Amino acid sequence: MGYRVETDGVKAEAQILGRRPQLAVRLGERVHRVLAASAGEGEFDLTVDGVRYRGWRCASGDEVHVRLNGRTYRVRLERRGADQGGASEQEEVRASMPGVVVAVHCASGAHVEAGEKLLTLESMKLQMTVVASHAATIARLHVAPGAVFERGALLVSFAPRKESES
Amino acid sequence: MFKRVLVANRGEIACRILRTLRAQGIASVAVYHHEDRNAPHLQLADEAVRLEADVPTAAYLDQAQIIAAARATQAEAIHPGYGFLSENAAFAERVTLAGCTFIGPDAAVMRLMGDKIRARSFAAEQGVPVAPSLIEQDPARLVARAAEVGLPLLIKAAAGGGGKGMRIVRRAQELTESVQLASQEAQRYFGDGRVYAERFIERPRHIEVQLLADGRGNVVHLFERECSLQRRYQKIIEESPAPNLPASLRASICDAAVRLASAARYRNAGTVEFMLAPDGQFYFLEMNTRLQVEHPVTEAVLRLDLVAAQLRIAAGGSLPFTQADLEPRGHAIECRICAEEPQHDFRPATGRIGILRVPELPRTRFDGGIRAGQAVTPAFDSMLAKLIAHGDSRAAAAQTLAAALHELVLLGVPSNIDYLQRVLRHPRFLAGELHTGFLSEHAAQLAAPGAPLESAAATLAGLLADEDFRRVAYDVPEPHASIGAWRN
Amino acid sequence: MRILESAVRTGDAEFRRRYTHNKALAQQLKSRQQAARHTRPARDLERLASQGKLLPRQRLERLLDPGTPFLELSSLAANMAYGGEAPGASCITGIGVVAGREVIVHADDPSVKGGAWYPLTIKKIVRALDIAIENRLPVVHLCDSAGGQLQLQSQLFPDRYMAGRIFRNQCVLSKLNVQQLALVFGHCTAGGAYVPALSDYNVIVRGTGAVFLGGPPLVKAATGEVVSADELGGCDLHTRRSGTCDYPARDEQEALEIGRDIVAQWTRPPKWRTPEAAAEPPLLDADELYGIIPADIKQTFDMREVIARVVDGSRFHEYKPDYGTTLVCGFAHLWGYRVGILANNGILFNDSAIKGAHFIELCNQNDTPLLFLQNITGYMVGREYEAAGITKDGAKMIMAQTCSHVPKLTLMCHGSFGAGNYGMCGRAFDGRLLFSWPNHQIAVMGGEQAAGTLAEVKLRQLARTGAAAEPAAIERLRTDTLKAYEEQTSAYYSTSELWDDGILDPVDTRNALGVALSAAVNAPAGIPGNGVFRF
Repeated sequence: MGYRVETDGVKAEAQILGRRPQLAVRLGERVHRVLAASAGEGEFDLTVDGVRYRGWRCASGDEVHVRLNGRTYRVRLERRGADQGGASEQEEVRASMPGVVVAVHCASGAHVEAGEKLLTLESMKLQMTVVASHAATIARLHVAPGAVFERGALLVSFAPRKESES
Repeated sequence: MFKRVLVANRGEIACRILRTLRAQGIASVAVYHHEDRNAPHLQLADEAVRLEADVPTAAYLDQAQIIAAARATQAEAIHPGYGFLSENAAFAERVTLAGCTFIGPDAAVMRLMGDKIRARSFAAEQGVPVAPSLIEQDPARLVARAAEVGLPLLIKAAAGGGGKGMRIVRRAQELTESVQLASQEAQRYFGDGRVYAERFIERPRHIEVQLLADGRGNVVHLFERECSLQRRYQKIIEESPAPNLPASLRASICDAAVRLASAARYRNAGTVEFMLAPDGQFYFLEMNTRLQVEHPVTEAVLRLDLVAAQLRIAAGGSLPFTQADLEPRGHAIECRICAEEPQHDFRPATGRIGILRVPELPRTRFDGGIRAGQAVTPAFDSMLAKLIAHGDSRAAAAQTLAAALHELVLLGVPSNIDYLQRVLRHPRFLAGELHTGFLSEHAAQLAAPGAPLESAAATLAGLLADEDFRRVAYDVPEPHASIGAWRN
Repeated sequence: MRILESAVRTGDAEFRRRYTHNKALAQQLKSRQQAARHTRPARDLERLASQGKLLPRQRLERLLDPGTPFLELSSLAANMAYGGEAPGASCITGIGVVAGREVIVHADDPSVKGGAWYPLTIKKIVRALDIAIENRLPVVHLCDSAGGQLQLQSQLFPDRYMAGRIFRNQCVLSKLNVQQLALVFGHCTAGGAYVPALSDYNVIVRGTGAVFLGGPPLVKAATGEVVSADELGGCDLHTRRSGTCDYPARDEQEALEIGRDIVAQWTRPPKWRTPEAAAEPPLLDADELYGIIPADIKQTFDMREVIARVVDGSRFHEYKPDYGTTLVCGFAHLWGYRVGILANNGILFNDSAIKGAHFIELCNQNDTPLLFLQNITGYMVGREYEAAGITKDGAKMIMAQTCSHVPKLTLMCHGSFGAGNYGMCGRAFDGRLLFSWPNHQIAVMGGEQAAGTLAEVKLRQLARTGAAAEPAAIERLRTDTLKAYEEQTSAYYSTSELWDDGILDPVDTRNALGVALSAAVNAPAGIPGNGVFRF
């Protein structure tokens, strides 16, 4: 598994090649021998290709900010989105258990973004909010506040999406 | 002397004022918005009062709550710092009406100097040079008369400052539109759409004079500061004294400032700002009726505490020194450390300060309002701290300041620390060839240097901070780690 | 421990002759493996590319921890079967490191006949799972198969160790608390659907992954229902409705990342043994093995020369050096682990057989894994030896070896003929892993011997009936026998039939045995005890 890393705008691929006698990491075109000594919180003490580097580092979002010899570097590890398999686009919302509609947050014909609230339902003394799993246009709302529904009941239909080129 | 003072501000200036209060043995009260509940200035005060507001900055602008806090804590005086309510004449009046002392000049002078057009007229009356200009209420007439001043012109907001509502017009055909847009912007930002036009001076230097007055007619100047290094019309490096300034010119400028303050019957601290043209002509810009961000460079070369002087004057005391007592020694430079990305046009940045290590180099001073773990949000100004260095010479001061920036560790939010180092090492800066367009003129050279030799080490340090990478690197058992990438 | 000294003279003609010969054999092994692993019809590669699929070896490289070894097993399975149309038996198996954990990897190879399961594919997968069970190694399955090769169904379905054994093994593994993960990259049809279903965890790729007991063609034939693979058993159905699959992945890369993260969650139980010393490379060069191995199967060589080029520091503690000298026994360290080595320096006599049995007992007493280095044409035959009880002594060695509770590894260094194979832990004796060198040959007896014996038998037969012996016919019988033997005794035939776990280039021996040993000591030792020794 390679790591794609970007430092101050320069991208490179980092690959661990070996671990003995020292950790060998290929960064872009070059292979570096790395020895990490333990250091305090936020500090690092690395020997790279025989040269010792001591400095500070701190995580900031998906970046690590590194302070080394009077310069600050921003190192970003490219991570895949925490999408958990990507949302698949459903065309309708059905009730997973029986309950009653407490509130409706959208309207027929409205366009909603992923994550936008659609309905608030109550089942078994527990309120749940149903959100849109993807951006879509609401074709029809099949329930109104106060409506009682069974498991599997159709609550919201989305307008079919046009085929997009990918 | 006051027994208790409330500081109506936040961040580094609140911390700085509170430090002087503590040193003087005066009890202190801080105010804060919920967003600032972990801010360092709360720790430096003896007590803190929470202000309620939907928007954090609104809290520090809430006159009624602040005055109520002063009364509730029996604070005898309020120090407004800079920004926020520091130049709000109405606030100064209300404070006085409430029985507190406003640490600053009186409301009338604040109003005078707050209106840029009135201030200019007043300055001209005192024989203080003003740039050829055009004051016209009617925008159409302003455009028509533009030729009187000559191009290029600078259109400025009468009620404004900080670079907002300012526009440079180089060609006559742009004039009408520029006046219109400037007026709209001024209306939006300051609630007052009045604009005026001034001759635009190319490559001007921004020279300002620090003043202290006792309100009884005694005014001293604390010499000049140069604040030419600006981006987006905001100062980022200031120094005292101004380099390469002939003694006679210095004297003229400082005398002009004193003349102005005297005539206005000024009280407490203030700064008169001038534009110095390459031909040696200087022109009045404006007067700031408050303590300025860059006051530490003056304190460094004169070895005094301006806030202490402010307190003394506000408490009815006389000036702590005469003009003859003031002998500037050496050179001081300050840089403003801001949460921004210079490589993206100084775009303000947000984040959380993960690590803060302030170097303890001799003859340096770090005025910060931040601590490790603090969130930097768009709620407040992007300036995080100031770093000041003093040296026997300008070169020594620049070197010390650059060295301090080199040692400073502020990680977690992007900042201009590396950029400031590059400015301080630039040969043209060191030669003192300053003007307000300096940073734009040398932008290419000041932009980040090409791939530095240590980028690999930094990248590896960053990679090894990642838990997943570390696990893959170190968590492989023997003999596999020793056999390595073998395939049969 | 004493450092072994070499008597080999790398300059002399015999060494150089052997070197050239064995180096060529190694080169041939590499080319045949290269072809079996990578040569594929362009059409099949294009099809996979158009489906957005990675090649199985690409999946493997992304699954494994970078910079770690992968011991591939039986790369040349089926190389002499099915007309060569199923290289590697359309699957890849091996031992590798994922998220710091030693695992068995089983990957279907969709670039070979869509990943269809041939009889030898089943045998290879069952073998991989047997290795997993015996060594308590977790398993990662990379599933992508067209299903069983229906024309050969009688050879892959009904019997005890055929397809069903895969699923039986999966259940046994699970019962032993050894984890299994399946990454579904393609179809898992019919029996194949049970691989992810019986895995403790599984991940399925949206769009290409599908799990169903009957695929769309079968469903249509059975009930007339028309349904696509994705509708019938795709990602969304199984991760949201049926719950058959645990984690959806939007593409193969994500599936591999999720898989690695799952393996990272598994606890690592302590090993039965850990290295007793720090590993040290041998003092002598393994490359010299090429010059030590004879070109002729009938010739022997000193196994100490092999040991010296494989074990840590070339150090060896020889047991009973002056007795039973045709069997070298002793202790050494391999990658820091102590091992007991038994190696043939000639045929087995009474004394070598008993010495072997005793040494095996010592290793069992000492909790020391056993390593058998085979070069054996058999036990000594003849009246004198029978009278002395060579059969009994051979039986004792076999009994001790079989009843060992420590793990056993076997390396076929040269010949493995007849009963000698048994005592020295041949395939039937549940060694954890068994490898051979390219020069290896295996048969009940040597080819020449067999040809000679059959010719002799024929002659006697003809003599009894009074018929004339036609020299040409006898000669033909001889050469035909020799030819058949030549084909069927070679290491390539052996590996094709999965009689071993792979052919190794001699210079790879140390690394392969290191990975094997490390894998083997994951399992607790068996129950000590022996059967009855016929004294």
